[in-house]
Amino acid sequence: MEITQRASKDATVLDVNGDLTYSNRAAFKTAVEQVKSRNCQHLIVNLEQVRFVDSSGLGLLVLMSQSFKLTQAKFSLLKPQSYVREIMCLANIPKMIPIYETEGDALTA
Amino acid sequence: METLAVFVLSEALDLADGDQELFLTLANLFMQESPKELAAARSALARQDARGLAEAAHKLKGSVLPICAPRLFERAQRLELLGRQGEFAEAASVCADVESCLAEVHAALRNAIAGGFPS
Amino acid sequence: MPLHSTNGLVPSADSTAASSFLVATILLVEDEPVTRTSMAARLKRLGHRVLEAGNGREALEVAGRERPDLIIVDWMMPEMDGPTFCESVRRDPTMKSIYILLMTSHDQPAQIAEGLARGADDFLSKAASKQEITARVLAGLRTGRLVRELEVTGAQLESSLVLLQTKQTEMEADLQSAATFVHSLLPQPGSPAPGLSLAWEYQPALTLGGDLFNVTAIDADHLGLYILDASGHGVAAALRSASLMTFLQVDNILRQIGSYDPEKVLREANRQFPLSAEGEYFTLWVGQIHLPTRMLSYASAGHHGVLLSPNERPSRWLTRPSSPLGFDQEAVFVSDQITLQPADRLFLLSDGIYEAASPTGEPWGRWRFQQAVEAQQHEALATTIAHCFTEARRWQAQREFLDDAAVVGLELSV
Repeated sequence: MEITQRASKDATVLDVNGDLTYSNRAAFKTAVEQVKSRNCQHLIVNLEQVRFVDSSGLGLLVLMSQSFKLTQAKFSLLKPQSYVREIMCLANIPKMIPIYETEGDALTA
Repeated sequence: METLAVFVLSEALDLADGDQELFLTLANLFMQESPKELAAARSALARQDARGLAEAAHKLKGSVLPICAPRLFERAQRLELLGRQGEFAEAASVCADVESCLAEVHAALRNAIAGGFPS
Repeated sequence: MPLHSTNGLVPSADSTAASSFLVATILLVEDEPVTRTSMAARLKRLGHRVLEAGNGREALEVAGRERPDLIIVDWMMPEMDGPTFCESVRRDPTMKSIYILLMTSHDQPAQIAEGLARGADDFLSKAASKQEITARVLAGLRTGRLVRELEVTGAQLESSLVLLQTKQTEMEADLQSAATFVHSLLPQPGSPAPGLSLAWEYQPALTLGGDLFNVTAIDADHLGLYILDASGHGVAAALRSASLMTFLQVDNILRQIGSYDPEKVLREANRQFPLSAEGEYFTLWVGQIHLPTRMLSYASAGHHGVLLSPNERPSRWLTRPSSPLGFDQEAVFVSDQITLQPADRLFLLSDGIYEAASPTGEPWGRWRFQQAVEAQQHEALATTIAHCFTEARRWQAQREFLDDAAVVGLELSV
């Protein structure tokens, strides 16, 4: 898994490349916590290049969104692939975390 | 060959790291041991024992090193080589050289011991 | 400050190292007394403790007894020469790493190569200067020390490994007994209630699995059933599962909630089992069958592995989108009802079976499980379940599952 961080207007975008699974959870958690510690007001996790999210990956996304909520900051997901989107829908993720199809939509939300 | 010195006190003292007492010990030990090796070389030569000759000459050569006696060292080395090659005819003459060189060295050492050292 | 103050003045690491070099024990092996005496005296002056031996055999004995830090041995000696002595030392496991300087007047490359090949570490000329002796001896002691440190480190690693293995054996025994306990809570295959038969197969990825299930009588008219799946892997996941399993025991549920109503069970479980600090959680499916009417009520918290396979009709998944436990404190769980028919089969499975990945990474998938079950409708329940495991194993091309794999089958009699 590769995670690249970049700024996009008022938000920080993490472009994730690879699977978001149990074995990658530490790298993902570290990357998000780093962004959070810099007082980021809106984190967008770009899942366009993520083929598979397992149950641990799913839990981590929810955990991160809960911790952003605690500080009134925004946490959004961008462009999940269809299989990942299906897993997320089955777990009711869209009710908890906003999911956008374009970066523009995520930024103006 | 004649250009080689019999005994170089300064170098011998150097090799003893400047320790006169050590040098004295080594000189006395050499005077006590070297006749044995010479005798062993002679007897090996007499019974045409090439290996025994080479070993005795080698041991004598080794004992000469700390004493710094270049001429004797060169002769002993030559004798060791001839022993190895089984050249008994030439070895007999070189063995005689070794004997006379050894006598010179003993005399020089006795002289040095009696005369004391430059400080 | 006085030099011999009692509080402070700890010698620096450097001075300790330097002084320990000075007290090294050196064994000098030389048959010729003048050279031996000379070299011994020069080494002693450098601060070393010097042991002397006049021949190889005596030297081996001294070396075995005194374990010198360094050996200086003459090449040419009667009986046992220097290279032969080196070989003997190298053959002895207690001495093999002692650093050896071969003393010689040889400087032929071929002879140097022979000396190295037969066990010498370096060479020392009999006519060496004081500086050269100092340098070669120090280099030898330094190398010898490194070699010994490596050996000690190696030995420590080895003993740590033994300790670790002992600990691991203990832990495995503990895990085994925990697993025995947890597995004793799993239902007995057979008939959990009149008109029902139960079969299951369970392949935990570890001794103690994180996916657990139960089928158990609640009262004379009700049968309760559930399957839970802990996210994550390993012992931590297994222990969290055991605690949820304890929560789900009938006595506890009746005491805490008053009934085994699936949506109430899930609501309480959602409250009591929040997301862990690492983001780990459970999915849970709970069902209750009213035996007189064959009415199944069920609710799911993010668990999608429950399949109803009616006789002679297509099967369908008993699930709807729902939050796993701990995702959302406000989550609402809704029970669905369905009346089971004679010969209907209900399968509760963990994702370990349908997420079994092929060598190219493609999951076996819920629909392949569904196909396997439908193709086996007329086989005995246990045979159908075994067939599913065979197919999943064939798909992933290996016997062991990376995640816990469980399939529980419940069949209504005709």
